[in-house]
Amino acid sequence: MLALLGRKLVEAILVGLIISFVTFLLVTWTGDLAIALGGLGASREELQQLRTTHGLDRPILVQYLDWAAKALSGDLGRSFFSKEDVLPLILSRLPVTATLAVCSIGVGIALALPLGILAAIRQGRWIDHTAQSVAAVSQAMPSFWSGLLLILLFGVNLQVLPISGYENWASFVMPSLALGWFVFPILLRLLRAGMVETLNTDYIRTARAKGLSPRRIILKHALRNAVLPVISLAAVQFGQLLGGSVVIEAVFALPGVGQLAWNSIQRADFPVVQAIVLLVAVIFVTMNLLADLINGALDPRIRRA
Amino acid sequence: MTETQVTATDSIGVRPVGLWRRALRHPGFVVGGVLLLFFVLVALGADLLAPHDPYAQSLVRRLRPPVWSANGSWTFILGTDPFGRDYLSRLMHGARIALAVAFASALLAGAIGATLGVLAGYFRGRVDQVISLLISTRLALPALLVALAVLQVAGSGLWIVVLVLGSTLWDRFAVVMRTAVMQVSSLDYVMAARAAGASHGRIMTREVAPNVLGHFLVVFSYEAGQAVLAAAALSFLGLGIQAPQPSWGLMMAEGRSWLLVNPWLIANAGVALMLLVLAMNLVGDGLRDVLTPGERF
Amino acid sequence: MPVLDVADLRVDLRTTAGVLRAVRGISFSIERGETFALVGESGSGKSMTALALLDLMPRNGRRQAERIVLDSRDLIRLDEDELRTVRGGTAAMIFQEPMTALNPVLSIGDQMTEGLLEHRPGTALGEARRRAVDLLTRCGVAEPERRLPQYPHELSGGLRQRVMIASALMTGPKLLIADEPTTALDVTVQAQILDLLRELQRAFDLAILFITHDLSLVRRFAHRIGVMYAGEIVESGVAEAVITAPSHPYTRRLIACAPDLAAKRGHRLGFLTGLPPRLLGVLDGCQFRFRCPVVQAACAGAIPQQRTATGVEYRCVQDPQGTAGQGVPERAAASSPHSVGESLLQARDVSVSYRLRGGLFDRSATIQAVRGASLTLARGEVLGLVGESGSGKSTLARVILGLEVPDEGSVTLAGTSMRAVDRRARARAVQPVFQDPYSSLNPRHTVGAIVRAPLDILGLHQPKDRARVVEQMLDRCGLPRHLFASYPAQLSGGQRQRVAIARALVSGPSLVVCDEPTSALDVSIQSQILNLLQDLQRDLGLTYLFISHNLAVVRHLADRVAVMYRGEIVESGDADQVFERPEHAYTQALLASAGRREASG
Repeated sequence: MLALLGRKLVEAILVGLIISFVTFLLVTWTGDLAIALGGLGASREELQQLRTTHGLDRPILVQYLDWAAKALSGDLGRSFFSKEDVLPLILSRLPVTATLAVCSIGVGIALALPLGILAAIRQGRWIDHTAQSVAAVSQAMPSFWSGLLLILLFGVNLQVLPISGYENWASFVMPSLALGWFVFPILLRLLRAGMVETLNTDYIRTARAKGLSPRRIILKHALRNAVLPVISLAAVQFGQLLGGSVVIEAVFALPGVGQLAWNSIQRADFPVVQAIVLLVAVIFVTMNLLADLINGALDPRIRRA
Repeated sequence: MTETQVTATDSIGVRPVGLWRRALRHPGFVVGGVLLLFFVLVALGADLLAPHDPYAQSLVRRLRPPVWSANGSWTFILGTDPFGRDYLSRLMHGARIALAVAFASALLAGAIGATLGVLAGYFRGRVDQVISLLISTRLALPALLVALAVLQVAGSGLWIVVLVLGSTLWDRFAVVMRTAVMQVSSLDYVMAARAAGASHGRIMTREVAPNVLGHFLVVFSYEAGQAVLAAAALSFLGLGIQAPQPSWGLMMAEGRSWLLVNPWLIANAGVALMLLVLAMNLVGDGLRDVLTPGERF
Repeated sequence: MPVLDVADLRVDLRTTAGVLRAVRGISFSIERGETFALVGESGSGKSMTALALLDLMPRNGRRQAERIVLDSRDLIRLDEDELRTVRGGTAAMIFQEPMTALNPVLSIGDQMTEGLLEHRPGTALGEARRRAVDLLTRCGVAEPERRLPQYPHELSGGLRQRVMIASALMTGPKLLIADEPTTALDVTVQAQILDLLRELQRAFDLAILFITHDLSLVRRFAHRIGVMYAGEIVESGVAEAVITAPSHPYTRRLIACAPDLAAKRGHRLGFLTGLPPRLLGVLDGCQFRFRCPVVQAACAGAIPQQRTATGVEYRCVQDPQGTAGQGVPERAAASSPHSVGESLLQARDVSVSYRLRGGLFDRSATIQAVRGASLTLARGEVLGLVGESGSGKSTLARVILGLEVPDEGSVTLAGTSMRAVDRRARARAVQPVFQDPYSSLNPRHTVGAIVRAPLDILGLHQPKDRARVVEQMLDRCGLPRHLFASYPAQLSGGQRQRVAIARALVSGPSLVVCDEPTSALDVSIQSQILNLLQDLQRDLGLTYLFISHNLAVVRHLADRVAVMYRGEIVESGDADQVFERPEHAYTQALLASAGRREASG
């Protein structure tokens, strides 16, 4: 377990390094920072001055190491636009997006868990076909579109939920449903496949031969095994929701990280974009480590390896 | 599956039914296939089939409702958009864009991902370690954010969208192909080919490739659907394919301000998009069940 | 009164090809303290019978019976809830694969006690655990208290099977159904498990239904035997009588097919032609008639009659007693002792170690798969390499095939070092035949293309002649011509192995490395393949390195024997000498286990 965790940790650090370098390169190559700092009206001399003062004329690797050293101490630069420190700016937006991601995963799991189990134990029956068809359709619906349909239904026709902005918990209902609806089929398919596979194993036959009740066989013997890969996948999905909530935050005007990212992209505010990409990647990698830990706790083969 | 194949180690097994016949017995595959064929035909024949010019604007006939509404007419079956352009014609021409993006992006992603996956799965060791790290990196990157940023800087257009999507959607190809190739290359027939003196190239093309082609096709149909969804999200945010192109995502973005007046502007493009992605996913599921039984994707 | 009394049990399976009649009206009974063994090849319906008793068949299975009376309750008349009190209550089951039959994520203690807690709801957990410890002790598990919190992957295969047995006995069942409980285990462990089962049977007065494919295994272990073929018990009776004086033509042939540990090399095995029938749709007449050496016209129409002979009952249309001689196949020496020439292969001090999946920072465990192994092969001889699983024999085989480079040591083939020859020259000299006929042929190529590939790779013969060379080789390997254009999926296991042999021989190698070539096959097919290998060796003057865990097969085929244990070759020499006067302690233990396994009683 420790060896495995160590290996994963090393991998996570390497991934973080690569991503930080790639984003750094992208930012340096895609825009002239000097122009961004000085504005389009700046003269050639002024730009040269800016390059020297900000160290933009040094070799790229030196610039990166300089940037990385600052980043490690929490200094991710300043926004071109608002001149604020980037890190506090992002952290102030993070709770909204994190809440959204947690709720969406919650919705996804709440739908996938019972349906996945039912579909697997009633394999080939109508409930299985229904669950799979619903999953296939919902997986084909873009989340922004289901978001708009929800607005039409709950916000406009029924007028029970706020359609945009961030006021209270109710603001999260529709965005979470829209995202959770998109996440659920992925979880359902994996859980169903895992349950079907597990229910055909020798140890389930042993459990049946022991005369255990179907409930015990399914919940204790089968689910404990089938849920392991689902946990990993849920962690991956959570990480992807953090970076993928841009569109849904735009639809519902939620002031989260996604909205900040989108606005910053439109304003070419690259330090902010770069920091968000890096932060999302770090959270993603951390979530994966967490999933490995949980899997280790549930699976003795990993725990004692 | 309620029925199981006959298995016995030494009685003549049931003659394997042809793949094609098994596919045609798979309801999901048939529905998806027919749907997909329909979209392809519409896209190819859009110039002939579309009742109007998809770009012809007219202020007098703005925002006509579809035929099933109270004021609808058969002239504009699905109504008109805020610029007075015929909605159905735009939808038909939009299928062309959606399919082009889907096919080209999945092809590019497949070329990148399959190459990496095959190399990692066949050579293992250091090669695998490096490629696995690359895959982890790709998974950790928020693809949509990066795509948006790149499009913002690099400008717009169909082929830039394809380039961006192709270079972000390759991860599943790589993961699936890596595992599949690893499995196949540990089988005894690959061992036998090595013992017979075959070169790496011959083993990869003649022994490994035919046995992982199914995996590639399955992922290809899924990722084509993902490309359609991603392109729509980009268009919806106003990046990528630009007006006046009849991209479905763009049509939904244009219809958004008219949500209260004419919700069909959003609903119909969304349904078209959903059906196309559904068709691709169903074909993918069918291929998975027929070509790679027992695999999870 | 018998503990178990089964009458006219039938099992149908719905398959894509139609209804498969897996079990076709079998009857038997088992008394207290008695072992009844159902013996048969794969697809004979023996395992399905075991599962059907407690209604545990796969979802596509349906069972019917006149009665299945267990301890005076008729199981056929019980509903699912009542059946659950029987499963793991009056009747317990153990299965073949100890590696997969225990749930990997639940502790041993949990899995042992849960059945008892379910069947006797009032039982205190402490009491259940005490009983588990007690039974583990009786099943020969050392430090039983320490096992309870452990997980299956922490135990060896033999230990897991002991845990399975202890677990099955928790509720004090009257009937133990054992489905191939020793098949997946090494020979030495097999003998121990059989001893244990017999001991427990005496202690608890258990009735045991023992399912196996291995006739020799049950000779002394079972009291009575039922031989199954095509879903029927074709012959049954007292074990010794069935094996020494079989009456049914199938039983006779089956016994003649099995290589015998006690017999000397040189004779030819009996064989059964053809394949078992597909049991689909309406079946009439005797189902063995397609392979029966004494078949007559009447066999197609009539239903086989129940007949009795000394100590056995059997079902046959005719009275084969009159044709007794025909049932016993030619055991006469068919192969002349072949000449052994100069040295062909020399492996010296070969060592191979594997790194256990290491990342950047854990340079942890390496496994020493082969340690300083040396062996020599003379042209024209058969060297049998014997060892249990994990002994390193397959790794050594890969080194000799040139598929793996040893850490240390050298392999010399016909005077040239393996390191010095290029892959084509190596391929022309040495070829493999692998164990698993299902993964050794590429499913996407036809039989013809598979056998032709080595010729294309090596550029042997004129391209226009290659098809003819391939056909000749396939003919020689006994594959029917109409299958040359088929894909492997359309072939049976035995046919596939013939193709694999043809592929190995088509480029004319002098050395063939056979790695457990018959281990995945049924006895009657195994004998076909062994006879084929023997013929080819004699006709083409081949040299074999024959790897097997099956001592009887090696005894049958090998001129010399090398015994491998934990990566080392601990003993080697002339086959007769090693088998009759083993010197190394491990070889002695191995032979004793194999002997005890067959003669346990």
